[in-house]
Amino acid sequence: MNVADRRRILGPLNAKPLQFASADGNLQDAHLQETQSGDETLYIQQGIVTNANGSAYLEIASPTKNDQHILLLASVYGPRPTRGTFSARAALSIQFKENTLEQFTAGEVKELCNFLASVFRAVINLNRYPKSGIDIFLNLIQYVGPSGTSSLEAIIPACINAIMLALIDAGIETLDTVSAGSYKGTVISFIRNGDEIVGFWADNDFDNNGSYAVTVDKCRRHYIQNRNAMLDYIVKTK
Amino acid sequence: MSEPLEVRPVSFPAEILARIAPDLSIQRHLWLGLRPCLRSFTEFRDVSISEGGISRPLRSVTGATENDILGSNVLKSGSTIVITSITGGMVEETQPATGFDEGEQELRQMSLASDRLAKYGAVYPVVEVERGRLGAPTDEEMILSQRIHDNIISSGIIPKESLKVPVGVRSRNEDGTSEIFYSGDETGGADTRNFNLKRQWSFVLYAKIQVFSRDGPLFEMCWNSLMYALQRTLLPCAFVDERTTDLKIPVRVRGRSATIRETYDIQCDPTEFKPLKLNLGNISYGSNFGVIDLDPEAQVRQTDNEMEVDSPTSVLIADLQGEAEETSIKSTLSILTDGNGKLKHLSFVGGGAKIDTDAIRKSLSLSRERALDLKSRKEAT
Amino acid sequence: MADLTDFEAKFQVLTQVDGSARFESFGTSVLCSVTGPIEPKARQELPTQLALEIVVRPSKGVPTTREKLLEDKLRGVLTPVLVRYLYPRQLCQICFQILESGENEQFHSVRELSSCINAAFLALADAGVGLQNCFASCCAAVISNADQDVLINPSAEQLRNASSTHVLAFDSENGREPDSHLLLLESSGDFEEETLNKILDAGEKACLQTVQRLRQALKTKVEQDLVWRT
Repeated sequence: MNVADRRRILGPLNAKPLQFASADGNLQDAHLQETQSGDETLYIQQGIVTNANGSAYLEIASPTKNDQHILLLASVYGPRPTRGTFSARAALSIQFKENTLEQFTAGEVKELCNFLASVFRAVINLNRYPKSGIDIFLNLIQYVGPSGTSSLEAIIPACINAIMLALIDAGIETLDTVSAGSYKGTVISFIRNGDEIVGFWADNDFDNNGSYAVTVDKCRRHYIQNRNAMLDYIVKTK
Repeated sequence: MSEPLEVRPVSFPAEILARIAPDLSIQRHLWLGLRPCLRSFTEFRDVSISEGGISRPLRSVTGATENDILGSNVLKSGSTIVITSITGGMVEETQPATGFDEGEQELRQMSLASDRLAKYGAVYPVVEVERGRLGAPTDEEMILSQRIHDNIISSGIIPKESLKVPVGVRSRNEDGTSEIFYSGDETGGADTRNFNLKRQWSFVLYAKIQVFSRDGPLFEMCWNSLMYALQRTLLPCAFVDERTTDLKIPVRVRGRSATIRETYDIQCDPTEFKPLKLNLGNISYGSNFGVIDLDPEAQVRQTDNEMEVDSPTSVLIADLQGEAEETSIKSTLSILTDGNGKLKHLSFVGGGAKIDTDAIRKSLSLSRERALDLKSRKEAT
Repeated sequence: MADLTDFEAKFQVLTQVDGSARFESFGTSVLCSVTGPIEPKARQELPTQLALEIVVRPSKGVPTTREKLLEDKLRGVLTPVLVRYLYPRQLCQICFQILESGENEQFHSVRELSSCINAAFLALADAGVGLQNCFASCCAAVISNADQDVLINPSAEQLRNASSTHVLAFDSENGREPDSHLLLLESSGDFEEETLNKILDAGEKACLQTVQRLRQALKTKVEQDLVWRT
């Protein structure tokens, strides 16, 4: 039985993906590089997807490190009615998709979506929208990480910021403007001016020996920067 | 019992009328000489294109990103955004087991010569229209993909010849460094017999076309974006290791001799790229049109006794946009042309207004102008 | 020379549906069945008009995107010719089974498409679903090395050498010229405006001729169905 996808044009079945020989030389470990906060430029545009209820496009580039950049598009559909049984709160779903290059595995993507959903379940005032669904779609149009590598923790703050901006564009009620900061592969998401943590992501072996306070502090600083940039944009455009 | 029944006319603001009665709304607009999007009848939306800088060959990647994007394009038309990225695969050509049999070669050539379309390569597109839902591709996405696929072949844009993989040989020097040698001719024709390579590979091109903010028919936009992306596509050179090129292991099984050839591990060169050679004369750009009958009853008259002016009964609309135009205009025309009078595809569906030869002629000349304009943008980037 | 608009039609090939017809012409054979008007699923229902469900099944293998595209083109032809306001909130299922393709399916679908359209006319008439008008289709090819001659209903061999291929459908009440209108034109390949005009002229003639023949086939069918007593 042929189980090939009949709804897509797949091309010859015996085709193999291109294998590029690794270029000689300089592979650096991305995790060791500290994301220096403060050297990023941010471009924000809201309402770019006209048939969504809200959307935001984010471009983040580091002028010091040329080829490091993230292009991310978040669109929010909803609150829209859900079928089936009654629910007192809105159902939230987050989908992440890479538009051009597929660098993350399905498992990583799922992990990312679960993390983001847990953050936004805490932030969106879901009780305000009974019998509804809020569906958030993230499209990573392009991502080049430090020295050409890719790591999830580098895009999480951008994801959170983009979703937040899209939610604002859609006019969906949230408890606060959520944002996140990252430090050495750890991402912490805050609300209430950094007093409350709504998400914590540590992928590689998180060093527990006393540096916790430092990590939180660095992340908080990055968070405040991100949040201020967003608020600044919103105040200026409205 | 009977209360006086009062009938009051209801009036709606323009945007509400457009939602509840799109056909009436569009008729009212057309009588004013405008379209709901406020363009004039044969005015096209502006298009802006950019390369996007996603593809591997055009970026100086120092690290080893798993980036196999060979060409890309971002096209914006009105609020709609189309992102096309072209990736590749490789497929080994079926070759006769015992070298080059001349008779067989000749037969292959003959069958190729008689079959026009077999000479051209395909692109395997997957169109995805963002609509805020998950699930299998919609009918529209499937139809778009198939139309693009069919037209790439029938237009004859990619000669099969240019999809052949130029294969080189990597040899290791004594000091441990490796060098890659490609066959001498610069055309990339891959005269691989110099290297005793009996096998050939061909590239397979895939196109991923993402659409955001869908606002009207998409085929032409996706097509144009793909045209731009293909013209920017670079194909990598590939190589096999020197040791494997003529590795034959003679074996003897029950008195019969045979040779086992080492399986080639073909790899792509991360730095050497050659542009994909297209039949540039066959590149075409798309535009769409609609024909709609004017409904005299929808006309907004200033006074009742205004003179009946002899006005046209149907109008030609270029570059359909918006829900109202898409649902009310049922006669549509889609044209792919190169701008110099050569047509590559024409699709007319006459669901509504009747089309006459005048309308066809007019839309053909408009599509030519449009194609020339779109062509010039490619050179501008 | 064989008449290229010639075909063989059979009615009521299937007993479990409201109408069916088999259309066979020079190596291409299509079976069309019509069920309707019936009750639609909730998502198909249109408040004021007849909804259409069109299914195309290929001669070999399972349906793919190629058949989806054929379905879309067929929908474009059939929607305007049906009297849809007669059957509000109802559904008409039209299924096509390609029995023999008669062309290289990898590259072409012109013979299949035009045969499907003709088969649909016969099957819809057989089912007694209201039609605005008679309609018929033909395909055409232009051979590159000859002097741009238009071939009506080309064979698989001719299609292979064609520089451009076309499918046309016209509606007409009785196959006489002035009342016909273009329903569908699908051209691809390499052609010019001049060729297109030639195709339209030749295609219209062929379609009108086909309309007359289809009507004749229907007439024979009706005569056989009813037993006339004098």
